[in-house]
Amino acid sequence: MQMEIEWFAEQLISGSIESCWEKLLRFMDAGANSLFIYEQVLTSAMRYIGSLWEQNLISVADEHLASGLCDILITRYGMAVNQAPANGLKAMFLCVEGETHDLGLKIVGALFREHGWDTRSYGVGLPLELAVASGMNWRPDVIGLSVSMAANLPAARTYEESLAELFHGPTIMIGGRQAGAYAALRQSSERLVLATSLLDVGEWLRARQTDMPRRRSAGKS
Amino acid sequence: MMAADDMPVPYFEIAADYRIRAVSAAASAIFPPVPDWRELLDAGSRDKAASLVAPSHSGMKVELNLRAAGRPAALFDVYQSWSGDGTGHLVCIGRQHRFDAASEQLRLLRETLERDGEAGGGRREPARRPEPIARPEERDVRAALETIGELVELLRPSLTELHKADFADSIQAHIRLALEAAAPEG
Ligand code: B12
Repeated sequence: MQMEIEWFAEQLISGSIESCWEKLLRFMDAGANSLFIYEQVLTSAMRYIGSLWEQNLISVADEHLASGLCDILITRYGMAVNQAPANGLKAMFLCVEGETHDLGLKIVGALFREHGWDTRSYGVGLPLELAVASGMNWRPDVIGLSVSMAANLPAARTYEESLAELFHGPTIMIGGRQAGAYAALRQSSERLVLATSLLDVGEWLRARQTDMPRRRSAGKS
Repeated sequence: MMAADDMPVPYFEIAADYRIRAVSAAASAIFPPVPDWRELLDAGSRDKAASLVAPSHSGMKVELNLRAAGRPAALFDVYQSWSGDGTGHLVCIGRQHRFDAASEQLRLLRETLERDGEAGGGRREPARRPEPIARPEERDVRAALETIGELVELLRPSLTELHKADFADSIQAHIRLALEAAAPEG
């Protein structure tokens, strides 16, 4: 598998979007599910690209191009995959202020949509006060935050605390490259999910799906 | 030889243990004062610098993120040469503005692609769409429009203060029209 990831990463860096897409289709034909495509292929390839930069083998210009292609592939794949019927649940996603790594957030949004959730993605640069106001108006069941850079951990904490106070009691989900570091600061609970891998998210979604009617009528605990 | 201070580029003279011995005025203008050059490195650049900014790589250019100009991580090209006595000469050329410009260009390109509904970049249809498909584009359009509407409402107090609340009403009217055009919900 590692060789396939390296090959895939090279295609991303060289801008060969069609060969990347063909490869994803081949994975799908072989029975790969979305968790595999997103985590094992796209995320692994981007991280491998990060390691090439660390070895001085590529420049950030290459990273930029690869990120652009990865973004397109996430959108394309999200459109190609079967989506569950709408389940009435809502999730909003955003990067904490100062964070511009949003590929992970896009992946998670796509995964939720695939499971029938109504989603709103605010991407990067939404200030906390607007995030809180949006949370109040739209009353999402889940608010997902992404944090990739260590310098943004304090901002993540501030966002989490403010959003957790929303009266309708959403579940706050924290993911991204720094989710592990965040987990060292905070304990997960029923209302705080620290997702250190996409598999966690997949499991959580499945559990929530079966659990749904009870939770929906239970309201804020 | 020119004194370090007069070098017209951000320059550091460092000892073999990375202690800073001299800096150019151009360097003090953008970097915080630190005793050890490695303290300027962003966490994600430490391993890279540890293996590649060293006498064995004299002459090699290395891209690194450094703490500079108030940013925790700004992109630099670091040029290095090492003298026989272990003294290192580092010239750090800022690349962040080019990086930011490239990010902005990509963002615009992505927006154009999304607007044209051509996520693939080419003219052809996505290679395959397994059936049945739940028309996600429609759901996405609806979600985006609702988000815009909501953000406009958040701006309404400020717009009212500026006597520009009419704009908010007009934007909302357009959004309603677009939502109707995007097919009924459910
Ligand atoms: C691609 C990339 C970029 C792209 C980002 C494109 C984009 N639109 O996101 C570009 C080139 C633009 C970029 C910019 C920068 N980058 Co960068 N980047 C990377 C790189 C190579 C890969 C990141 C990535 O896309 N991974 C793939 C995604 C899909 O993975 P992920 O985010 O972890 O998401 C997964 C999970 O975490 C999870 N998840 C993510 N979010 C969420 C949210 C929720 C709710 C849930 C449930 C789950 C979840 O789901 C995903 C699926 O598995 C990393 C290197 C690395 N090793 O990671 C550096 C890296 C993250 N960048 C780094 C830096 C320093 C920067 C810059 C500051 C550089 C600069 N000089 O400006 C800027 C950022 C500016 C800013 N203020 O934010 C450093 C951070 C170091 C640190 N101190 O923490 C890294 C580690 C590189 C390095 N070694 O120095 N970068």
